Amino acid sequence: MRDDCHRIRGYISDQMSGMLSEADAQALRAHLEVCADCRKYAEAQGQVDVSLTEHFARIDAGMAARQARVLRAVASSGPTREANILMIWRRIMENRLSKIAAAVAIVALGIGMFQLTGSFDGSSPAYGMSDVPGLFRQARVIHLQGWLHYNLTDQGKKVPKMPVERWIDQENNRFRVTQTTVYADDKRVTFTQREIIVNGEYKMVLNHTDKDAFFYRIGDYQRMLETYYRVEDVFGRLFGNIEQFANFKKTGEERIDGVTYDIWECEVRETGSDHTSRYRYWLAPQTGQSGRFREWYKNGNEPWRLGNDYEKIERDVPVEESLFALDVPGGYEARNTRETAEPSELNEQGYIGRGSLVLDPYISFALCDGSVILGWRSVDRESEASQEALFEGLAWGGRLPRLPVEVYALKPIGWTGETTYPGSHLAYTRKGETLIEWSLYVPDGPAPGRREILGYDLLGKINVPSDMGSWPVTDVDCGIPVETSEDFAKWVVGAMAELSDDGAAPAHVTYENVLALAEQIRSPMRP
Amino acid sequence: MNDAVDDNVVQACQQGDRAAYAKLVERHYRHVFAVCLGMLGNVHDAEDMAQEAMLKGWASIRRLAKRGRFEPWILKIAKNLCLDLLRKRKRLRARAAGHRVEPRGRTNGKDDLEWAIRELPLELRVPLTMHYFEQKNARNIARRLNISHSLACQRIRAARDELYALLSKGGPHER
Repeated sequence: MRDDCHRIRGYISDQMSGMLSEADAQALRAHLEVCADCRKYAEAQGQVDVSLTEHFARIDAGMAARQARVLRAVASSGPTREANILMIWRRIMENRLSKIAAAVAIVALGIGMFQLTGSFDGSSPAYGMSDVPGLFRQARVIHLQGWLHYNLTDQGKKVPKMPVERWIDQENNRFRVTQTTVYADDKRVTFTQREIIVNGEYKMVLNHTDKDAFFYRIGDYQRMLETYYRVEDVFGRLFGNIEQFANFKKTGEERIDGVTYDIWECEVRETGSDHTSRYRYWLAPQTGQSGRFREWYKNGNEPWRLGNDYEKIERDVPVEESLFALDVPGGYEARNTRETAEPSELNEQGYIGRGSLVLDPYISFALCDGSVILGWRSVDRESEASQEALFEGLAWGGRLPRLPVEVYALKPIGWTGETTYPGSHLAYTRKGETLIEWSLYVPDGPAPGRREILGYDLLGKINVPSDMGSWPVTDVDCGIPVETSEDFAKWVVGAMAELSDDGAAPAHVTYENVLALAEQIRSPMRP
Repeated sequence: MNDAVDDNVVQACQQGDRAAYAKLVERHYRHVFAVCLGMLGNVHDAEDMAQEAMLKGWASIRRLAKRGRFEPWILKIAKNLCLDLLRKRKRLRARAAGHRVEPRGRTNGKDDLEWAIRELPLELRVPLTMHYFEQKNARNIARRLNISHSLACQRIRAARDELYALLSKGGPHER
């Protein structure tokens, strides 16, 4: 076995899962030419892969029959049982002594609740936890400051907590945020700390670890989009999954800097895992002011570990102009200047390359009727032919262009239903030499809500000769929600304009037309 | 996962509507079966446990206070049933230790593979099943199991390696 065989064998597996970059694929090919052991190993892994695919396909083939058996079993089973609480209550009511004990317990509970809430005097709290997300959505300025605890060790030493700060001026689409990137293996942990400042037509990335600065040019649409993503990030950090709000309970109160805060707590256990989070939020009931936020987490029976700890959570506080200044601090090397800055590319969903084939899902939007719009492109880097002909003759609502990789459908991630979203052509735009396809994906069955899924798998097929067999499944996020024609004009039309040379979207792409098309596509699917 | 759609259906079930429960079966059975298959590694056991979980779900549905949380609730029932079965098997194996087990007769490749999958440790079998049965990529698996992306890749690879090693030994007939 050679020195690099271990690494190469990882590549073989990655290639099988469709996760290998072109550079690594080249290294793999070169190695296999000279290493008989690894060739044998690749062949063996290939055999196992084929056997497993066939094995699980056989199991899958019997799913309908299995489900039918379960339905029959349910149909012939006994009735549902009473809820525990009712059973307990009936037991209590059967006995005179237990009835008296229950009455005493209820009175004691009432006194306890009175002491905890201090209510019955008409001064009930004006703000509860369920009001908090709305307050932040409406805020012009959001400020978050605190710490992130990584709970990692670096060669036996505990890694210090990392500072977190977010200043987001939603009104003017500008922000200044910290960003920490962690690299950790079994022994060493290293960090890169950056700060990203977006203001006007520039984005500056300050690398505090390497002490350098880099500028990008950024257009109006991207500035709006990046600000939107930063707000979503704050929501993710502060509120996690919004469903947790149903579980928040008031557990006490605390006075901080002269303000009395209610303390709200909840625990959320992640579906399908042992991961549990505990949230504690300090909320001033009379003003809705947030005093503090802490999040602990644990896996299984491990002890709780503190993760996010924010000491300042502010809304609509005054901001100093200097906060968003794009000046390179003293002692930092400017790797470029505003004059030489390149435009930042609109591509939030990431680039996917396999061999010579590339798929770029640029941006996605979730429409109010459950359908999804995706802007994407695909190229074969080995082909120099123009793609213009592939878009000729395409009709509104018709088939998709036969690009090297065609995203023919979407599948919601984390949704147990069978719904698939087949794609139809809406329009295409041109930006420089790139042709971007805009497709509409309409669910062919009951569509999950936004909060019920993690995103969408992109189902792609390869339309050019390739030795890849099939295109690996990759995914995009849930998309920007589009609920009104104003949202559509702002986000969808804005994105199309951003990704076209003339700065305009095709005129026929309107909210009403797209919804009507989705309805038309959906109608024949209905039973 | 939040299941707002399930909320009304669960409410109907709690009032004794069996047809409503059929909707929940249709919506969640596949995932419940996949979880059982991953944990047990055997189709027949997975079928039994998934069915038992769905029946138990029906019998106890009035106890489900958070109606929008049917999926995590039913998955937990299924997982507990699988864990009970695995514990029971472990006890049986411990009791059988010391007894000589006669070699089985020659089996075909399909049986060998089923045996080999069952031999995998849980932490390899679950991601392997998610990858091949639920067709989840490493990123999705990592998210679902709350592990890193590289660990998910590593486990799928280790599962394949382990399977190859087990199958190369010749399967259960040569044990």
